[in-house]
Amino acid sequence: MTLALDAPAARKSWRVSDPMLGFLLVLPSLLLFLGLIVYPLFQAFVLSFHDVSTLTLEGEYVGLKNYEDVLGRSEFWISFGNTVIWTVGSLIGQISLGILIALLLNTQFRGRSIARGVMLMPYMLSSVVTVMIWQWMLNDLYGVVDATLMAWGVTDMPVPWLTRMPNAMITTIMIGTWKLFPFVVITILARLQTIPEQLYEAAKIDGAGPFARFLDITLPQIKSVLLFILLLRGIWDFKEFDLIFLMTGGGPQIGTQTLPLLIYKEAFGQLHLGRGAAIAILMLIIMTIMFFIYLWYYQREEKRAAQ
Amino acid sequence: MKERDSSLNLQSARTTRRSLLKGMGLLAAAGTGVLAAPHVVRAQGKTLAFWTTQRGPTQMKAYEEIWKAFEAANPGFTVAPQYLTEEEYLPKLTAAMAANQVPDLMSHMPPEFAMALNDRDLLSPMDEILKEVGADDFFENSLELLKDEKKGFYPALAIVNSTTTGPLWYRKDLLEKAGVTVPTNWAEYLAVAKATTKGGIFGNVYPFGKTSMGDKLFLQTIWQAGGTVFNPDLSVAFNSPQVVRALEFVQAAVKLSPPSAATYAYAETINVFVQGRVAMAPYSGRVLGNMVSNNAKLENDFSVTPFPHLAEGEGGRKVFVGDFQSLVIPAAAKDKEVSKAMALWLFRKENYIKYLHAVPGHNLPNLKSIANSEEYKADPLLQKYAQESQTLIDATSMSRSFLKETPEHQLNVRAGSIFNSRVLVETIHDVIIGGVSPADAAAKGADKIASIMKA
Repeated sequence: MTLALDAPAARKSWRVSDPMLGFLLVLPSLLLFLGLIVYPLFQAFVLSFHDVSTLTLEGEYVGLKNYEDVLGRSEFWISFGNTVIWTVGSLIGQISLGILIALLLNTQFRGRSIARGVMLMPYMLSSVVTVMIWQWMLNDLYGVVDATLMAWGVTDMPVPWLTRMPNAMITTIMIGTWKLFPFVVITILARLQTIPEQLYEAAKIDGAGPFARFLDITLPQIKSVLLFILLLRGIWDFKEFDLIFLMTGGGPQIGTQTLPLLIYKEAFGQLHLGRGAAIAILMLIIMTIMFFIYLWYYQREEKRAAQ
Repeated sequence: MKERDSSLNLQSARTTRRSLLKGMGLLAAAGTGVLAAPHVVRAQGKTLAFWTTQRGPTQMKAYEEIWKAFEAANPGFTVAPQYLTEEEYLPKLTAAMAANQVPDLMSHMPPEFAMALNDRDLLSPMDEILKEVGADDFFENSLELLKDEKKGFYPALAIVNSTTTGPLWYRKDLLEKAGVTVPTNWAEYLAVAKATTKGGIFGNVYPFGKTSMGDKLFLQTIWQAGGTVFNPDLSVAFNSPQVVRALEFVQAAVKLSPPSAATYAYAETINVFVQGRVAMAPYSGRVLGNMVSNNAKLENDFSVTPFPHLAEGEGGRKVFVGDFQSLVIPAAAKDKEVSKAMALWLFRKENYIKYLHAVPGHNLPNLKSIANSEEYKADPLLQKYAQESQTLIDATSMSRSFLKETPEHQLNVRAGSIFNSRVLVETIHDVIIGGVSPADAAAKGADKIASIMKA
């Protein structure tokens, strides 16, 4: 006996076919996708061909002028260079520190659970809190970092952490690394826990040392996860705004001004929404290229593994 | 038996899921309908949005009291104040405008932003408010700046009239100890800064973070060197010997400033002076209250003087950048009459004084009747620091805005864009951090300004 068999004939007309029900179930997500992703993207694309005021949202079609203006300015290329330096530097820091801490947390020691929890703290902090903590610590007059360095005789004067180049970029990368490395740790740690212990035991019997075991067993095993992290964190870091904006505002000069900060400056500072949209579209193109490189590399590796 | 149970459960579960999904769909549709119902929209319309950049704890408390009284006098209305930084004002406003949720009244808007908005017809005339309060009661320098001669109305009114960069606070005890007197020109300023830089104390702070504080202070320095950013016809005058002279002065002053002055804005500047780590610092009258409440041991050891300028014999002039923070009503405000009532409420004597007394000396009255009133002067802090208060008022009376650098200048509606680009303060960065010569930095800055004006 089923409820469908018991249903009166009148209720049968309410029944929706399975394909239609499937479509209806997908429809809300589809509408959200179209409304929140496709439409804004399309809108940004259209805006990038217009000279639009951010305040009035009115303007005229100017063709490729916004792109010509943007690509013809040294500020764009400096900001692009800064974005690459920030992304690469931050990725290197996060991945190196992330692997190191993940390996450490994968070993047995007392208080491991607490250590795993504490390690997540920086990732859980909002960017505003992170920036406030670090700005306080790096303050030249009452910050603990300079006070300690001077007390130890390492330096006579406070270090201009954020007011000179390349210090400002290095400091920002270090703070970004500190805040974002836990994502790498939890992802790598999850993979490390699935590596069969026998592999390490066999390697030990063969006389492999810790470094050789890492290179020949751990690294190949976590390679796919690393590539995944590289893609995700690469995209996220490439468009990072809040941490850098709050930390340095893009300064000194435009030494830490990345492309997202330049978009903000154009769209909200100069009120040139069209030009801001053009930079955003250029960023999208760059990130799409990065994605396809990843995809190509991933597929090549998959093929190699299959062979 | 087990199999039959399982089959029944499966069928039952499938039916339930389907019904549940249908139910959810109906609920979502019903929810959307409720949200779109006119009475909900009407209920939202009774909440009035008030934006301001003044967000000190005592100022927020004063605003809350003022608006509570407004709500009591106007039943059915609720005022929701929103506190923003100066840098957030335009970005938040653009987002609010895009969402058709503009505030009903905005206070302390930088006049450069106000006139940029007015240029795009985004502000309502304030003339009725001006008439009701009394045009003669306003200080003239603010009225001169904020009238749109072409449109024939005032799109903004300076709610207060003060200057953050005009006053230079100094430590009497440190100057006395170093055997120097209060500086009146740049040469004396640098000599005092040099003499007082010792024992972990810096002689001065010249903030040049990429914020409006850095921009305004450098603009003032250019004016005090006898220069301007624009000529009266708004052609670019930045590449001039006066700007080079201003940069040379900044170069010398920064050597005697805390190393992180390149990131300092308002908060850092006042904090470093109140903490007693610098001998001289520019800031508004907020220093009075902050010093008394946070570092009372120095409350008798500090005073204020107008920020020194290049000696008049060398072409310098005594002029300051004023804040002229303005009250504006967006053209898209829902109910202009209500907005006007809110604006007039702020100008009521008791409310105006309540706000000014929240941080005595920080914002100065822009109404002569208030400035001369016994009620305003009755504040204990203003009485204790009567001489300092007078210095603040004097500096304010000599202040101008980037909108009209001199009375001969045309109104520059792109002044806000120049500020927002941070091109002024970036010129200092070029010299101090980039190692570019002042002459080259001025030339580079002039090109950048010209391209912003052209865009």
